[in-house]
Amino acid sequence: MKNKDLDLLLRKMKMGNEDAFVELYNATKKGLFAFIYTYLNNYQDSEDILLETFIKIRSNIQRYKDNTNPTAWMFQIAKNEALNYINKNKRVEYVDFQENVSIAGNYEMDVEGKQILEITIKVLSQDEARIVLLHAVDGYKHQEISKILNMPLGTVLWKYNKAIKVLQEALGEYR
Amino acid sequence: MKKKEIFEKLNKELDNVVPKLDSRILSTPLQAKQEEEIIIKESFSDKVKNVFSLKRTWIATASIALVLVVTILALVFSPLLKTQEIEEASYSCYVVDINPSVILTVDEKGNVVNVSALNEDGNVLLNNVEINKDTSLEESIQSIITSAMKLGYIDVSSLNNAVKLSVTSKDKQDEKINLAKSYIESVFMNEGVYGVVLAQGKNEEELIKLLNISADKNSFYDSVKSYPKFTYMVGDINEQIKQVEIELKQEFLDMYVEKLDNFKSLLSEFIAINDGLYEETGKDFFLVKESDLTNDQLTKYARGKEIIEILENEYTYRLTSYKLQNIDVIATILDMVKLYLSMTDVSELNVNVLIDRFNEIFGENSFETIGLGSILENIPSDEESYLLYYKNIYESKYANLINNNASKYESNREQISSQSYKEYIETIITNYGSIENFYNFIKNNQ
Repeated sequence: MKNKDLDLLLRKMKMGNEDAFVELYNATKKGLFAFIYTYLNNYQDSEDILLETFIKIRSNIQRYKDNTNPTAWMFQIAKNEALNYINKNKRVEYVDFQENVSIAGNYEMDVEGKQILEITIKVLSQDEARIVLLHAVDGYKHQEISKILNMPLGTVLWKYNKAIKVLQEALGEYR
Repeated sequence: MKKKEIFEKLNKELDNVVPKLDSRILSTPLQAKQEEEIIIKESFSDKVKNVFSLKRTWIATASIALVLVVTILALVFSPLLKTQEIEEASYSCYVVDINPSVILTVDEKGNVVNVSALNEDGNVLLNNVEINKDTSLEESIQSIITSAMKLGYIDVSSLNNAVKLSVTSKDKQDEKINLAKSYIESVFMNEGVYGVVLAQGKNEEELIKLLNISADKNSFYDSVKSYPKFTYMVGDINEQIKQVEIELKQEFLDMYVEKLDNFKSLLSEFIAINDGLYEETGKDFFLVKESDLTNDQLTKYARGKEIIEILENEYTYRLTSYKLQNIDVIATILDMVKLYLSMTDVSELNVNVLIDRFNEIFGENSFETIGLGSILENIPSDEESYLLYYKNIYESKYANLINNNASKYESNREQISSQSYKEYIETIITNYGSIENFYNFIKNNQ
């Protein structure tokens, strides 16, 4: 969904429009979940933080400044929630795919989405994983991703191209 | 695994795991704004009742009957836009008249494209607001009202503030009246100021009469367009300069990508000549002897020499035997540069990032070794360089236009030669409202 459409939804939410919130949730949940997942590396925690993120969005809706960057605003909230969670729990769960027979070793079956996600987190740096997931999942343009991650566009492009290569090589080993 | 397949599987997985809307989220109240109209009216009427119940009497200042008439004129009135391109369906006028009187021009998307002062106080008011051409109507109106309060045109302690709003629109007039009215009332509410909005619709004839403009032309658009005061350009000049810079940078990028394409094309042609000569003579271009060549080979050789000369003169690139050995790398660089230029936001263009990335791939200092640095030298690395670079192009492009009217625009010519480009743009915008206005003005007055 384009930023101007998100902006409109947030503005409607400011006036109490619940339908606008539902639309916003459905349009952004995947991208936000994937983003949070790159911090927490497990589904359950990511689900919890996604919930917290949207609660925060609702309770702070009046703080959203119209006609700015709604995507960056929402992702900043998600990032803050994820980091708060990490600091609070002082732990990050890593998926150790060496222990997971289904994705290590001689693997005959197709690599499924879950394994791809885990491998993405494992073989890529956090920034690379975020760039790839945001682009893959919600089709964010590189320019939008650069604003979300506060990173120069050239760097985003560079990291993306490199990450795709690395990911393809890693997945090629598990085909 | 192909990228497309990776993405499809990721999406499918996330479709399965991302939760549906949880009731716990919905149980958090959506902190919405209160109903503005009701509060304003109730407070105002309650206060009025209280006032009359008091023995003290308030002295109402007659001159404080501020009449805010928000005028959103159709795009056709804006000096920024070409009248012929405005469709009738987009036409709508809102007149906002505080004792400062201002007119806002709004397009069919609801963006303000021009703000003009209708009187001297209007100029003062607009000098204190920041409205860009893409500012929404809501923001523009609210900043005008807020500014009027700050400057004292709206007395925040008065109970007699009134805002006059008239709207002229070919479609949804009532809806537009109510919407504009709500923008004004929300400012009153947020600032705790008492005021009423007197809203009405006006047809074109009434607007012409109100604005006191000539109505002897067939088209209302022409009438309003000829209104002399519709030339005041409001907005942050720095923002406008920034926009112009971005446009210029984009134009530069387009030119540069074309230049790179030409360079690569010349290089490819030279490679083909070199390969052909090597196949026929066993020697590459730099080792072959002209006296040993056949007529056909001499023709190719001549062309090769021509290409070397073009590369040196136009691209400051000296093609050597060593560089020929690394021609694949050179081609890669050119593709990288072109891709980078075409995909980079002009405002973030930084050739040093590109060089760093190249060196990461091919090893430290590879870029410098390959000798293509001169190709990229022409990409300015900072804002000032862009401006200086473009000043030259700008002057050569428009020199004729201005020189042909030297007597009229002598001062402008002096400004071009003596000022930095940034100052030049600033001068133009100050005097004419926009670069486009300036060009149009010159063209129309040749």
